[in-house]
Amino acid sequence: MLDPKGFLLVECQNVEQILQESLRYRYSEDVAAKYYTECFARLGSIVNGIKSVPMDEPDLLQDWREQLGTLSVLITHIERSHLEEFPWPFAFELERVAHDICAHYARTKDVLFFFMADGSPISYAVRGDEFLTVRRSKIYSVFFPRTLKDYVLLHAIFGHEVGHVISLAAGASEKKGSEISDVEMDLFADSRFATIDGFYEWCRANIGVLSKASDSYLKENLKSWRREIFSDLFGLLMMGPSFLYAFQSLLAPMYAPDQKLAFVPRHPPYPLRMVILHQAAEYLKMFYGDEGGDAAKLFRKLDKEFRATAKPFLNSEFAVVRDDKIHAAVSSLQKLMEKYDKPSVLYQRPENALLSELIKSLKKHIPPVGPKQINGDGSLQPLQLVDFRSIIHAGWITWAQRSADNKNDDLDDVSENVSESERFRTLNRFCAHAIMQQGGIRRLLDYQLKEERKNNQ
Amino acid sequence: MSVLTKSDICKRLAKRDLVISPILHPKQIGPASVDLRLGNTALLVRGSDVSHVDPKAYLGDKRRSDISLEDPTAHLPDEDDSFDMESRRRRKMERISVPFHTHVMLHAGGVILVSTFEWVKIPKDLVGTVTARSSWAREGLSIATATFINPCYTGIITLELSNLGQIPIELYPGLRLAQIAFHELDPKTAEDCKDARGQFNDSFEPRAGRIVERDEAFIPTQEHPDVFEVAEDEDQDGDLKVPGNRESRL
Repeated sequence: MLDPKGFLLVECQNVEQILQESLRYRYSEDVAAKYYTECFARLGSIVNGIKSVPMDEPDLLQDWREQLGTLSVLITHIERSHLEEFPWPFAFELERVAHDICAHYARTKDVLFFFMADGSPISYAVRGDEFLTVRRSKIYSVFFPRTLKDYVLLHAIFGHEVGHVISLAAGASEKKGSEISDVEMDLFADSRFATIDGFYEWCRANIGVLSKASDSYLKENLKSWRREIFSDLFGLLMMGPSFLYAFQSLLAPMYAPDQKLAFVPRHPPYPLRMVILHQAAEYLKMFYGDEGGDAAKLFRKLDKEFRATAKPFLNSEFAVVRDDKIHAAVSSLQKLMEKYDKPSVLYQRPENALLSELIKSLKKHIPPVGPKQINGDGSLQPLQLVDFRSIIHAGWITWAQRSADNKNDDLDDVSENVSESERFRTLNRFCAHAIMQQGGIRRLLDYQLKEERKNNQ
Repeated sequence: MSVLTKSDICKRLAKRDLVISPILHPKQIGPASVDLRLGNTALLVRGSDVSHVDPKAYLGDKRRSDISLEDPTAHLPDEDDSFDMESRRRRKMERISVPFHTHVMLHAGGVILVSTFEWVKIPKDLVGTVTARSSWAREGLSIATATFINPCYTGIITLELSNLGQIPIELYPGLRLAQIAFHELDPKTAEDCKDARGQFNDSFEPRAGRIVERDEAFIPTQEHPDVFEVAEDEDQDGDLKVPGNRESRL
C-alpha cells in the first residue's frame, strides 16, 4: 500500500509523463513553448512542496493534491488545443485586444492565453487559473465550442467572457472600493435587488422560487447576477452591436416564452438581461438605424430585429434596473476601458463607408477584408487595417439584409437552393476568412513600420 | 484567346469584374500575371494510415455531398458505403493550419495541397492559368496540376505543390509562390461557362477531389461485379472462388 505522500509523488511522475507526451501534439503555436515551460515549472514546485511535507502531517498534502489535479487538467487541455479545431485567427485577435486589460487586473505582465475547442454552444468560456501558489504566469484558458468553429459572428459573445475574467481577477463584488466592484455594486442600488429580501421576493414572484433559501445562498446568487450583468455590459462595450445579436442568437433558444421561468443558479433570467442590454444599447446610441439618412438603411433591419425581441420585456417585471444606474455603469466602464487603446478594448464604430464596402464584398461572395483596393487607373490604395469587430458587424448586417431587396446579389443568387443554416455558415466563413487575411495585412504593415523606423535611425 | 496585360488586369480588378483579394503590394501585379501567396491551410498525405489511392473509397462521394438535415438517413452507412471506406478516405489526408510566421515543410518528392492567401473570382469570359513563379521553380518547387481555373470560379485556389529538388523546402504563409495569368474567351462561347460551377467552387481551403464522379461504372463493386468474373463460383482458371468480395480475393 502507498502512503498519501508516496501516492502523490507517483502521481507527479505520471503528470510529468503526460506533459512529456504533450510534446507530440501540435497546438497553439505562439504559446506552446511558454505553456509547456509554465506547466513544467509548476510541476517542479509541486514536487518540492510535497517532498517538504513532514510524514506526520498528511493534512498539509491536501493543498498540493488539489494543485496537482489542476495542473493535470491544464496539461490535458493541450490535447484539445489542435489548431484545426478552433478559429485561430479570431482567437489571436481576441488575445490581442484582451491581453493588456486582463494582465492589469491579474496584476501580472505574464499572461498566457490558451485556446481550445470543447463541446457545444454553452461551452463558451474564458477561465483564469486559480493556481496561485506556484505559478509564474497567469493562464487564461479560452474555450471555443467545437461545433461552432467557424461561426465568428457568434463568437462576439466572448466579450462577456472577458468581462467575467476581469470581474473575477479584480476580486470584484468581494469588497467595495475598487473601480470594478464599484460598477457592479452600484448597478442594483435603489432597485428591488438592493437587499437580499427584495431579491428573494422578486425571484419568488417571477421565477418560481418557492421556499426561501439561506441568506448566504441568496447573497451568493445576487453577487453572481451582478457579475453576469457587469460582463454583459463589458461585452457590449467591447464587441459593439454584434454582441447583442450573438447574445440573442445563443441565449434565446434556452428561453421558453410559454413556460414559467425557472431559477437557474448564478444566472439572471434571459429577459432581464435582454432589458438591461437594450437599455445600455439605447444609451450608447448603438441602434444606428435611428440616425436617418442613407447610412441608416444599413442598420435599420438589424436594429429592428433586436428591438422586436426585447420589446415584450421592456415594461415588464424584468425592467428592474433604473436607466440612470445603467447609464452610470456604462459610463464608468467606458472610462475604465478607454485606458487600453493599443489596440482599443472599446469597440470603435467604423466609418459607414467602410461598413458599406465590407457588406458589398460579402454580398458578392468575397471575404470582407477591407475597402476597394484598385483605382480605375490601376494604382493601389494603401492597405488598411480593419478591426475584426467591424468585419463581424458587417457580417451581422448582411445576414439581416439577406432577403427581399437583395435578389440581385451573388449571395442570394448562389444560395437559392441552399438552406438558411448553410447560408449562415457560409457568411461566417467569409468573415472568418477576412479576419485571417487581415492577420496577414497586419504582419506586413508591422514589418514595414519596423523597417521604416530602422531606416530613420 | 488573348492574354490580359497588366493594364487589362488592373481595369478588371478596379471594376471588380475580376477579384483577387487582397493584393498586398503593387508589384504583385506583373506585366501579364498576378502573383499569388501561400495561404494558411495545407493538406498532406498521411502515409502511415493508407497504402494506396483507392478509387473505391470515393464511390459514396456524390451522395454524401447531398446530405442534408432534411434527410438525415443519408448519413447512415450501407453496404457499398461502409464506415471503413469513408474513414480510409478521410484519413488519407491530414489538414493542417499554418499560422503566419510558422511553416510547412515540403519534402523532396512530396506533394501537398495548399490554399492561396488570396480569394479569387473569375468572370465568365476569362480563364486563369496558374504556374509556379520562376524563382521558386529554380528551387525545385513545382505546381503539379490544376493549371486551369475555370470561368465563374470563386474561392481560394488550391496549389498542388511538389518538390522536384533533392532537399526539403520550408514554406511560410504569405510567400509569393505562384502566378496567375488570364486568357480572354470568345464572348459568344463565354455564355456556355456561366452555369459551369465546378466541384471546387466556393472553396475556403484545399480539399481532395472527387476522383470517380461520373466514372462509377468503371469501378468494380459487389453490386456491379468485375466484368471479367466468369462464373458464379469459379474464377477464370476454373478454380473455386474464394468466398468474399473481389477486393478480398486480390
